[in-house]
Amino acid sequence: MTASGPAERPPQRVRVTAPRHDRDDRRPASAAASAEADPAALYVRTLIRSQRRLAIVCATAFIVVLVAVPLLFVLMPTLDDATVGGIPVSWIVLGAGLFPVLIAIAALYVRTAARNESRYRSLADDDA
Amino acid sequence: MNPALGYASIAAVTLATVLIGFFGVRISRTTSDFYVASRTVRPWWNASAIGGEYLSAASVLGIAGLVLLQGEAALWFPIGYTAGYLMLLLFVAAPLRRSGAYTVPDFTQARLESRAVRRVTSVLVIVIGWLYIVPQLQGAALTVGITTGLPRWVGAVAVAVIVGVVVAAGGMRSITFVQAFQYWLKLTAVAAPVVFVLLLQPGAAPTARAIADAFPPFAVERPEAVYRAVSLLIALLLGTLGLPHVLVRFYTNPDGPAARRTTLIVLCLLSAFYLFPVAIGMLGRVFMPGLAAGDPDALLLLLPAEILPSPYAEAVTALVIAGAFGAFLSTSSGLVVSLAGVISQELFGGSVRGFRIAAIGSVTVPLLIAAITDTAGLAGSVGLVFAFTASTLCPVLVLGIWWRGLTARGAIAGMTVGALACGAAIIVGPLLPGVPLLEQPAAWTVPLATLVMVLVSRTDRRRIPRGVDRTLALLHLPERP
Repeated sequence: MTASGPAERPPQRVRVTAPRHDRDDRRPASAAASAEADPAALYVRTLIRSQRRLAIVCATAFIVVLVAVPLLFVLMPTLDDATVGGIPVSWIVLGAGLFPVLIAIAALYVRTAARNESRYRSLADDDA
Repeated sequence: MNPALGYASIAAVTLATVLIGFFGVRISRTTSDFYVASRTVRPWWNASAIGGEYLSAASVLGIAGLVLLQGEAALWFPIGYTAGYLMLLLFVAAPLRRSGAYTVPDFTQARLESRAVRRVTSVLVIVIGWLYIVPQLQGAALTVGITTGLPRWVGAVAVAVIVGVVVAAGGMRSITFVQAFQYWLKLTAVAAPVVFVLLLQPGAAPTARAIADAFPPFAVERPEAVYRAVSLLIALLLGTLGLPHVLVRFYTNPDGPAARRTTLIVLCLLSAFYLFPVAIGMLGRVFMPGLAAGDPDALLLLLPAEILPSPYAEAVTALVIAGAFGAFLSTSSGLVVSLAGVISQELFGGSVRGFRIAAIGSVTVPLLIAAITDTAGLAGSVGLVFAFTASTLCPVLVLGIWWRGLTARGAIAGMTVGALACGAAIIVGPLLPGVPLLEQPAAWTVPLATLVMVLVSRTDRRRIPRGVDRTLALLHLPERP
């Protein structure tokens, strides 16, 4: 553990800095070397890769919506002739309409990320 | 405006804050209570607290003012402020919680196994915290000046003193309760004017002509304006994910999935909240277009008296003042907690006494900065803090969590370049007005910082931390059920 200053309360110290594990880091080096051979390490990498892909897909989906909305109003200005109580639709869409999209993407992400994790867990448990 | 109303509301919200703070003090005993509320906070409480902490002067006063001033272009602000939490959910929430570190510097040190990275991150967190507290104090100065007629500096000093005392006395445990209360107070404060206008339909209905003038259709912007909007959105989307006072809240979730659930609730709470400042800005465009030339940030404070009939006007104004003042209190105290955590760990070995000293120090410096700088638009100056965070802490967090190849040198190089580039733009920008690249730097400083981080790490492959596979497994593996 990389001590940060004089540790006056040992139990608290342990919880403050996470890397309890970098004292005996001879093992991870060998674990890294055998990453291809060791199925456990392989599962971990697969999990990280699938979570990364999921995060990027969700972020991209949101950015596509974010770009599409103004583009739509630029390309089809007549859309804004429609008004709600005198207020053009573009105001409504930008002021309120994007929030449900955000929440939907977030909810979908939370579910899928949890599913990726339970898939990992069942693989790892089968193996053990 | 009737000063008695201002005094009464400010006194009431301060009293409530202090009372809840001290109610919490009785439970906070251990050092970890002081830092992260013992990690026993439920998602709803935690999400309300995050909302309370996040919704600053810029959100409560600034957005309504900006909609009044800029019209439709300002609607990107609430979208960006909220969507920042989507990015936080996607890229940071669960792994950061699983890292088990208290602060951002703890995280970078654990991930990159380097004291130097820790020091650089600590300095950045402190700078960001100070920069972010300044607009809160300026907002407080504006509010106190308008509502009580006292000199403006009184508001800034009052917020600094209250926050310093509450944080130093109670730590984070009480702050969690205070913050959760503040979210609901702020929501009520921004919702009340809109709800009462809808219920009472006061005054003469505006003419169709006035409405058409207030809400021009979507305009095709010039390239500079498009650049500004894109750059601002990049800053808001990515800046949230490095804000120290928001990140520190994630450690109070019991595990990774709870961190995700909390973020999802935060998204819902923020979406509900932002409907109202936008609506107030729109009401302002119809009923008080003249204010755009004066103090647009004061729109929320002045609108109720302008359009509501007598007993309602005073009641709603009192509520609005309380909500606005609450915003400065809550965001500043959240920032001071996270700053004090970092400073006390760096300088005082993480003791409770050190935390208290650091808390006082964390409010004093921004107070001095606020005293010597001018109030620019609140939403604008907070936008620049987001740009700075996005250019420094965001890349190191995202790459640290998702990229095995990040090294300590790469992280330090990237953060330094990002801080210098964005810092220079923030300082030089006001001197050279009309240069979009300096006014909204995020669009080039964020990619620059990230690129430097990646390239330097690439040339430094031998120094990939030895424990990287373990650390990444710790960040990403689900907890044992």
